[in-house]
Amino acid sequence: MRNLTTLVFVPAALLVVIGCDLASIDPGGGAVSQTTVSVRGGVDAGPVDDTDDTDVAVATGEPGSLTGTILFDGPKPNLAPLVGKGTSRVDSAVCAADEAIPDESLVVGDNGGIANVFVYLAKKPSGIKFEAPEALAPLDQQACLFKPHTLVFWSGIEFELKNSDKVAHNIDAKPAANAGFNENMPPGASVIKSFRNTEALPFQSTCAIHPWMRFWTLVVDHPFYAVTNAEGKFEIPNLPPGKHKFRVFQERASQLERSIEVVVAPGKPTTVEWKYPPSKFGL
Amino acid sequence: MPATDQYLRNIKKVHVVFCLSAIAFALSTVLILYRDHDDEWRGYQSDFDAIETAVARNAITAAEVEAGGSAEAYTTKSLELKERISSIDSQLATSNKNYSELSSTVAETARLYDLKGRDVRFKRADRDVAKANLDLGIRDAVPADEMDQLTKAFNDAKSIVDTLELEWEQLETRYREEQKELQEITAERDALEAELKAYTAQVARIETALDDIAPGSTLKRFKRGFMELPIIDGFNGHQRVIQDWLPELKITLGMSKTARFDRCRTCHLGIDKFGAGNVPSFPHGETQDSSPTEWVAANEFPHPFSSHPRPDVYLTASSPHPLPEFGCTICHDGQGSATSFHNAQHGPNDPKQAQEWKDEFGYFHNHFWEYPMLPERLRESSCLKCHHEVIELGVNPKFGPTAPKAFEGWQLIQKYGCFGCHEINGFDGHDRIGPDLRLEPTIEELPKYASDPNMVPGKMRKVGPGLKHIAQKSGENWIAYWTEDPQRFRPSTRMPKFFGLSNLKDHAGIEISKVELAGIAQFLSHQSTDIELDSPAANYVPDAERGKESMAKRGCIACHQHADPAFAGGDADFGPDLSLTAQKLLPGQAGFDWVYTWIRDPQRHHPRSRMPNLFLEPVVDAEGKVTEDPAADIAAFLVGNGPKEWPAPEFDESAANDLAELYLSGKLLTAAQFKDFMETRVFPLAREEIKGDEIELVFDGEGAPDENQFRTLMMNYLGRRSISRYGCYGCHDINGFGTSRPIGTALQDWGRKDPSRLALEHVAEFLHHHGEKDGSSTAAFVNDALKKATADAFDSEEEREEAMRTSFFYDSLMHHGRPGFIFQKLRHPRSYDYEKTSTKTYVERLVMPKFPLSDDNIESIATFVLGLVAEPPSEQYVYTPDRRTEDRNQGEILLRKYNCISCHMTDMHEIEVAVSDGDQAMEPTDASAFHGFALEKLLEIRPPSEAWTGRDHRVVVDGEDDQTLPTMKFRGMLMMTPENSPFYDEDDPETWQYSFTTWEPASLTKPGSEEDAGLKLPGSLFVTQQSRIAKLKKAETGGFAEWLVRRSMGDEFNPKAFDDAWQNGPPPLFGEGVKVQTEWLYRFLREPDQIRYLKTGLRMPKFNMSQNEARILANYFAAADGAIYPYEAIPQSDQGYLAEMQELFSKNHAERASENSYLQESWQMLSTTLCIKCHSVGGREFSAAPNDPNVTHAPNLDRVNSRLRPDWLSVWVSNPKWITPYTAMPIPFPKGQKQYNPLFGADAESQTIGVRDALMNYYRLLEKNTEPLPPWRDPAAAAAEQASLN
Repeated sequence: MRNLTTLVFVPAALLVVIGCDLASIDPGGGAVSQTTVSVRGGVDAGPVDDTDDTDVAVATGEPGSLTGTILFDGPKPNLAPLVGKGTSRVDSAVCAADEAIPDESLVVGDNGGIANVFVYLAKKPSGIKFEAPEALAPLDQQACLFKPHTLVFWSGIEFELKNSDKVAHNIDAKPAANAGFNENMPPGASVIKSFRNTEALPFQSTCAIHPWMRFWTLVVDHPFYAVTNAEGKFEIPNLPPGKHKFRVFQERASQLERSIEVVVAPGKPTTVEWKYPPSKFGL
Repeated sequence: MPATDQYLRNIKKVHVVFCLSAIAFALSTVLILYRDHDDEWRGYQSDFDAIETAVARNAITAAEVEAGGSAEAYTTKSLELKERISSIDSQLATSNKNYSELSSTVAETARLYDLKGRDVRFKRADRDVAKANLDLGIRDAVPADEMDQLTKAFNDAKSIVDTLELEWEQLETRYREEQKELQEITAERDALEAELKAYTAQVARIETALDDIAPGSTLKRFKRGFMELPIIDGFNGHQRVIQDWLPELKITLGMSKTARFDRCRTCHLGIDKFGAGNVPSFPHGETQDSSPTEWVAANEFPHPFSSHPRPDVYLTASSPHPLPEFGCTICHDGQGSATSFHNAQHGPNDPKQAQEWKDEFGYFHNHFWEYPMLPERLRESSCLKCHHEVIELGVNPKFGPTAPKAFEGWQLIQKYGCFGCHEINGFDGHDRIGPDLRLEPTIEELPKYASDPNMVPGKMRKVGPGLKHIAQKSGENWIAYWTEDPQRFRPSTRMPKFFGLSNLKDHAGIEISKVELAGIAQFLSHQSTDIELDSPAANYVPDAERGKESMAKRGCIACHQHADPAFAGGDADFGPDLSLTAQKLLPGQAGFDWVYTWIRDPQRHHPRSRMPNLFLEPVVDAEGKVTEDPAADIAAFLVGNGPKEWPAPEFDESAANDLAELYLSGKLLTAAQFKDFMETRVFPLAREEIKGDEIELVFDGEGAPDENQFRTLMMNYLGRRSISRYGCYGCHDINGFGTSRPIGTALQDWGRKDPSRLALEHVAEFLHHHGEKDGSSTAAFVNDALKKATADAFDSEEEREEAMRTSFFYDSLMHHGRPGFIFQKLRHPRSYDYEKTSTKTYVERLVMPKFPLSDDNIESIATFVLGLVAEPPSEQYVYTPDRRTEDRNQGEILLRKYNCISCHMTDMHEIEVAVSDGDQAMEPTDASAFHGFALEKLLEIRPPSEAWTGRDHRVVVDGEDDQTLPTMKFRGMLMMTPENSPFYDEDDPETWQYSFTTWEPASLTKPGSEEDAGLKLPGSLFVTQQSRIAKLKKAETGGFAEWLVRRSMGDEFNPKAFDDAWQNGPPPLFGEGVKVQTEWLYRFLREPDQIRYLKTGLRMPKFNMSQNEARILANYFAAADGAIYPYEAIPQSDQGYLAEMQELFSKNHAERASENSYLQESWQMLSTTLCIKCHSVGGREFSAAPNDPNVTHAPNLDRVNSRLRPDWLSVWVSNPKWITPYTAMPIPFPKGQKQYNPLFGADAESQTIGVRDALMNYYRLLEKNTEPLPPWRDPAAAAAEQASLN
């Protein structure tokens, strides 16, 4: 199956909108974010260099897709809010003033699906050129919460970080393969940043003033990734058919899968369902 | 009596005899001349000529290749040039008539010009004489006629000179014109000649040099050969003895001191030859090749031709030991004036080498030269002659460890406390004579030191625990069990073994040992006094599990080990291993309270304890109930399953009586008195008459003691007497021994001890039968080792080195050498008593105990002790650092004394990576994103290092071509490694990654390059593949901090957890000197207050440190970082500065100046906007509990003005990550961010500087602002809110 001399040709102009179904992510605990995580990525039709050792064993044929659900194998956990309504010691007029700050470290939908799980190809498939998206969804800070809680950036592409709150925040970004940053962001501030390198794992960023605030970021250089929605569902379209190794990451559990192998059928969706017990999440 | 035929010999015979003897004399004269001339060194000098010739020939070829691309091309081109020149010459001669004519005209003019010049010079002299005479005449006011004459003479002479000078000038002009004309004709040839000269310059230079050593012409060769002949060579021949005369560096010969002559360079000809950049010209190599050309080809040179190693440290003019000042033998010993191998007293490194030398040079061990050259293994000894503080030999920011073995020996002596028995007095009165390792005065000795200003007190603390209160901790049974064989109870203990050694194996030895053990245990309990012990709160139930956690988090593992898996990886051995602590304690509450009190307040138990006060205070809730008592929890964990039952010591009473008799009878008491005493039990001497241990025998009660009382007295006496005999008080504080002197030989001049005074006794016999670890014969082992060495049959280099070490010291001992003696003394301390026990009574036997030392350790100790010669050279040679270096050195000693370096990193990791274009490591930081003034300050307090090393690294990746890439070096923190990488895949080299964060600015510009490649500022992270790493030097300090980080982060690297863990662990002190004010640090070291509230509960403990030590440590950091100390200026609080800032403020922010003064605006910035969200400031106390996870509890800012240096603070408030990359503190006022309007017109740079100045004027501002200002609110938002309300 490693015959790569013939390659999947996909029109370069094809715009792939990752996770059409993920348009709205429920960060759990009530507040519904309007932010969409949409990344455009084009797969270029270039010949594949078959001498390169790659984890992607691409077969001939139409591109397929991977759809799936990540499920919590147990009763829906009931995590106590991080900060109760009206109990914040810092900026109490804004933080947890109207609603408690939920614990977003594990968000399980009514169907048992786990939200905010990253599913992605750990390694960029070689020989295929991708067109990076023109713009990335911004990150915002509202009511002392980062919105969205999980997001994906492309390496080398600028993105925006905003603060819509009436209080100052800061984003203490702690990537593993990039230089971090941490600047104060007064109310209404907006900064533009970018990451030079991809990250092997999503990393956490926090706010020093409001230590409960955190969000997780993956930095990629290919479009084969997804983040599960409120029902734990994800879709990675436009995958070259063949054998792929995916990494599955959830913030509480870290790597649910370091490298899980999936054979993607050509021209049609391949569906998976992965289920994890509470022990994986320290419960 | 007239001569007759009978009287005269046969004349013919006489002629024959005369002829033969004349021939014999002539031959012996020739032989004498030959033998006199046949010096070893001439051969070496000839060989070295051959080496230099080969080097020069190679250099010529290299120069040819450099000039022409290849040697052939060079020859072709230079020939071609020459041919062209000669062809032009001949062409000119034949075809240009003018040329030959003009040439001769030019030559003629030049000749005339020279002649005229000579005339001018003569006539000028005449004129000058006339002028001088005239001047003298004027001075002496000679009569007018005489004056006229003088004036005339001068004028005449002057006019002659003027005329001649004019003619001379004309000739010069003519010459120039003619030559110019000629040059026009020969322009082409001249250009070619210049080209040829430039093209061949390099080669010609080397050829000229080569011609001196290996002349090209036969005549020159003959002359050179001729000059090597006997007698002729005395007339400035090129072969000669080279000597260094060192009049100030005297050598002791016999009884007198005389100037030192070192002639070593006569043979060691390449020793001081270094090329540009101090690169050895003749690198040493143990090459198998035998000819100079082969050595040159391999660029490896054997002795004696090789260059000295470490030219940065030795021999070169820029090194601290330049050859002309130091010579050779001051370091190497041996006979410097010798010019032959053997006379120089070379010292073989092992008997195998001795054998080789014997075969090659006729080497033999010479008893008559007292200080032969130090063998390689002991070479570092001699450093101690001048380096009395030792520390700089092991820790040196400039040179690294230069004498690691001597340094290790010094450390081992401190670790094992050898000086408790063997004083090493580094002072002769007040004069320094060598390293100083002596016990500090006891309380009892202090008055003596106070009253005698000439006594320099020792500095070392006793290494063992104090025993003055031992009865509160352990029972007698355990004491006896422990003393008998400490390693049996705790294998890692440093306490040596006194009993059960080879000279105590006979009946008396065994039986009396038992008495001593029982006596020691009893006496120690008897002398023990009680201290007040604390208990936890009455209703507090200690939690052992939480205690275990506290033990890890509160710093115990920084010094101690424990076998519990919770402490896996903690390998500190500064304090004892605590795994079995429980077993030795008294049972029940008594043992628990002892541990509890010890942990809470170590000084109560032992005033000089090195264990610090860790502030393990109980946590009390609002109602006053103790909710957590970490000391009690830790005590509960340590006490665990409680103490163990230990057997009571048993002994035979008759043996006790025997021992008493040995001590008393015929000594303090007569034999009859002793007999009487044993019967009556009444000691014949009164208390006042007794000065020694016998005081224990005096019964305090009425009349005579009963049988039991007498037995108690006797055992106390025997215990105390044993302690005196073994010198236990050298390591332990014991009541009654405050003024006792160390029992062992003083070692300060042991390195010069007369070998005839070493009592070797029957040690050769011992080693013939025993000596090795398994009891087998050392002699046989050495014999075998030498055979193996000859056959080259060792499995590994380590095995060979081990065997050769034993062989060397054995051989030394057999030759009555000091090295062999000390090695054996430490290996088998009692072996010198072999077969002596029958003639020695028990109390006459050797008492030196056996320490748990490896042979490697022993060699280090021997290296150190052999260097103790108490012969300091004259003052200018003794290492005397400048004040700053001295403070740094002394600080390094204290960092180790108090084990600061276990918690704190004082150096950072160093990484050297191979880089290629586009690598993250090569990427400069965009400095324009930061405030310019802060960057300037950053570079001032932390000058950038050079990133490019000038070295290359060969990068080998499977399946890819090797490539050799240049390397860059950075200092900082190692983050992710393949071991902790969450995505490491054994089969995928791409995942073998390291990430690294820099902690100091690095210049990326290549040295010598004009193109500015920018700076990599601290806090820059880069990821690199394992294959790219040329060198990774881990920090030698901060082991506990890193352990704690690993423990709390878990096995998988995670940047957030990593940073969190560092934020809650002991901070690295990298750059601490430029951070804190020296005076504050001094106070903090004496009385550490709590600055941060760490989740681990960890805080800086209080050490048992003297004022002077705190001062040295405080100075150390400033000295190490090049900061100003001990007094630093705080210009930000000066009136002048503030007036200037006020003026600027009024000018730049006129609209604000009407409302606020500069400082008041700054105060508003500090106390109302951002800082207060995490810091307590201006009286707004931070109200949340330190462990509330939803708030950030940053340090109170009230101590900033007395604690931090203003320049450091400027950098910190501008970009905290430049200082501490892991910090949670954000950049408060990022460049370009308009915020907190209208303060400072929302200008971030002014706001940053304002906040710094408010902090440096904190109390001044606090006095003016007794009420906190209302929190800052965005005026626009406030107005909008107001509008909506209306």
